[in-house]
Amino acid sequence: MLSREFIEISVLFAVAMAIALGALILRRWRDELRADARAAKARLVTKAYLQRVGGAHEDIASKIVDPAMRLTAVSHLLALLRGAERAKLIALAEADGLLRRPLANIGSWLVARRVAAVRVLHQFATPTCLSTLRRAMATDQSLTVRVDAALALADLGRLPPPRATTAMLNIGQRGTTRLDIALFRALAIDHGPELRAMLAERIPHALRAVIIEALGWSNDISVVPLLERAAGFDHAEIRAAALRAAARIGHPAVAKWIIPMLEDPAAIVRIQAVNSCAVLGLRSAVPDLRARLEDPVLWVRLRAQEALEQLAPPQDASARTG
Amino acid sequence: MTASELGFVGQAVLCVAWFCFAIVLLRNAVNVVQLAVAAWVFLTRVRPTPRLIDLWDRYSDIALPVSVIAPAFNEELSIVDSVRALLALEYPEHEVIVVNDGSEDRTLATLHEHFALEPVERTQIAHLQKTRILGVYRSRTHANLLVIDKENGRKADAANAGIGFARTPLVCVIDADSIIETDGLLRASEPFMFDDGSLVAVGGAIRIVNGCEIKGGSLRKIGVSRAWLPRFQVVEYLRAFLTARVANAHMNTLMLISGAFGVFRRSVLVEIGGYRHDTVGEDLELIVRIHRFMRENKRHYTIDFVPEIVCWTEAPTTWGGLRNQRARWQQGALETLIEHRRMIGNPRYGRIGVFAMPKIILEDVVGPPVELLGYLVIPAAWFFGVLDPLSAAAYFCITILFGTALSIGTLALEEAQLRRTPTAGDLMRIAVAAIVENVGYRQANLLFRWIGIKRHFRRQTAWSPVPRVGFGN
Repeated sequence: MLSREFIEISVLFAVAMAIALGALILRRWRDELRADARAAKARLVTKAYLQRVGGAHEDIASKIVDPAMRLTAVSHLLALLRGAERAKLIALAEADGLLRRPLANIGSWLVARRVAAVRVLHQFATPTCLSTLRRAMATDQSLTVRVDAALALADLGRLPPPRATTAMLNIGQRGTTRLDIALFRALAIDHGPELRAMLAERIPHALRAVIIEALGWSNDISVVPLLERAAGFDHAEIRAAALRAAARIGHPAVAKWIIPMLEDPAAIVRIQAVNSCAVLGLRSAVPDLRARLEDPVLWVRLRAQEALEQLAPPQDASARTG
Repeated sequence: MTASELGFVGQAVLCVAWFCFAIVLLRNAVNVVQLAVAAWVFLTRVRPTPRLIDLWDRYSDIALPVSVIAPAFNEELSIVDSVRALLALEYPEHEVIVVNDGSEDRTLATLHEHFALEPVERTQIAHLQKTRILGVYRSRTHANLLVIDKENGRKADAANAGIGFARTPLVCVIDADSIIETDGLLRASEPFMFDDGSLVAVGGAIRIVNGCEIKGGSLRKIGVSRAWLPRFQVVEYLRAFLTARVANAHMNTLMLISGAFGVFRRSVLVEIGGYRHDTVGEDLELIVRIHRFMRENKRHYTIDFVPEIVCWTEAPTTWGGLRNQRARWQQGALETLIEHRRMIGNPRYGRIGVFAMPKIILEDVVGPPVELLGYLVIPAAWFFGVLDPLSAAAYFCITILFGTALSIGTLALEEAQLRRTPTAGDLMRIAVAAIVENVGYRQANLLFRWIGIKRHFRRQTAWSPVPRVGFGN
């Protein structure tokens, strides 16, 4: 008896899959047949927007109402236009209602659709888009959406202040990612004082390290004393972050405390100290770097060798060991 | 016929027949679940950043440096194009490490001629290879090209040598004749941007390059081969990469990252000792060992799969080459299972032990020979009146017809979600192959797997060649 059922199931399954594929093949075939016409419409839509940006009042593509096609054309032009022309294009897109769907999709039950909406809103960055992105970053259930919104806002220079960003993205309560590092670097220029204030609070070591490293991107040499204090912290990752930030800041005053860190008990700190000496071009560190060629940890020796190749004359063959 | 009328032999044949039936049904159930899960994943997943410029914008400052390790053996005709293509990959900071694995042709000399190599002292971080390093060279024209010359030790050994010389946090191990799409490295590194340190490996999809237009080691135009054999393999690879891998990665049970392309955290590879040398299925064995190592050491980890990462590789165009390849894969699967047999069904290894390992046994060890046996036993049982015709027909439905349905379903998934097949005509050609492959090709593959099983038990470990046509310009 079961045999009949198995035959029926197999046949039904095969028929269902064949119908699905058949429909997709027909769709593809239809798209190919219409490809030239579609391409012509897309060009017309693009041309229409360009003309309207240039001042024309009439939309020569007014009969083409496909919002997806219009959105694609505008997205393409957004990558090419700048300044007032870009702003005008965005205003036209908004007036044409192209943002209606992405704004609605921010409330979709599908995470993927919300992220896609975030990406579109990022491109346009109108006041409505920005407020929607901020709301998504603050309130979306999915960390993925919140992070994507944060990246969009960071790119637009509109990331919420550090404490708010930290809270919204649960930074410090979960493992730190490279995106977290990128976000804090983006915050460093405009929110240096708040970042410094956070360091005075009780925060997890991982978060402290991220903040300290980000201060290297602040372009503010007044952080140098703070980095020096961080370099004396009893957590190796924080000391290493201070070294990375110091290398980024590039101020000569950091040399006096970076070089002694070549003797740090933690290997990751010594490695970072070597890297920082190389980045800063500290020729005064050459004797200490040569001492690192005898370091018990291979990675320290290797980095020291690379640093010496950069800082010491190439004909100094006695430096090449490891 | 009743049991008493059948006699002992008849009953035995009937038992075997139903056993074959049950195993095939179980395999089909697994495949259907994988297809359904893959469809769900594609429908709901957050798509990777679509445009290369956006990828670059987002990640160029924070992307982890990568060493691309390309073992090469007798590749004099294609090595220059391959290396140039690797050097041209879109990535902020990457190094290409070519490992000349004792080539008997002019592979090394060709590299010298085209890339102005000079000897360099470079300390090997970890000695993972079993053979001797004969020389290390740096290119004067391309600062991020390193060439390692070594004694022949096969691909695993060559990959290990390259891993040992890598100094970056990530390594990408490929075949020298694979073609990675220019955004492949950036896409492979994207999961590491969201990672808190637990991601240890990322795999990508391997697609068949036969029929495509290649120039200068890069893919110029996607095409579909007119020949049947490569087309059958297109379908197979789609089933493997778009359903099985996607589904398994979603369920954290991804057991294989293809040796043709994989990105790994270098430190983990060094910790586990790199690839094993004494297996012909080193890529499968590596991932299984990563699972084992991480679980035995109670470390939180993930292994990801991104179907948008595409690496193109040449499929065998002859039945002999296909036989050698599939037999080798089968041998590799058996070697891996035997080596890590303590994981099978063992709850200590979580879902890997309880589900993933038994699934490999079902799909790769028990399933193929049993299905093959069924093709013999079922008709015989029907012929001798032991099995009713409806049951015999049912068997062929659940193998050939159901298998066809799975292939077509996979193709539909590919078209709906990725749309990498160039034209409707190509899609149709692959669809026809998806039907035809189940009558002849499927059964031949089962036979090749059986050959692999025999070779394993005869301890034949020599690497049987898979003839390559090579990419045409």
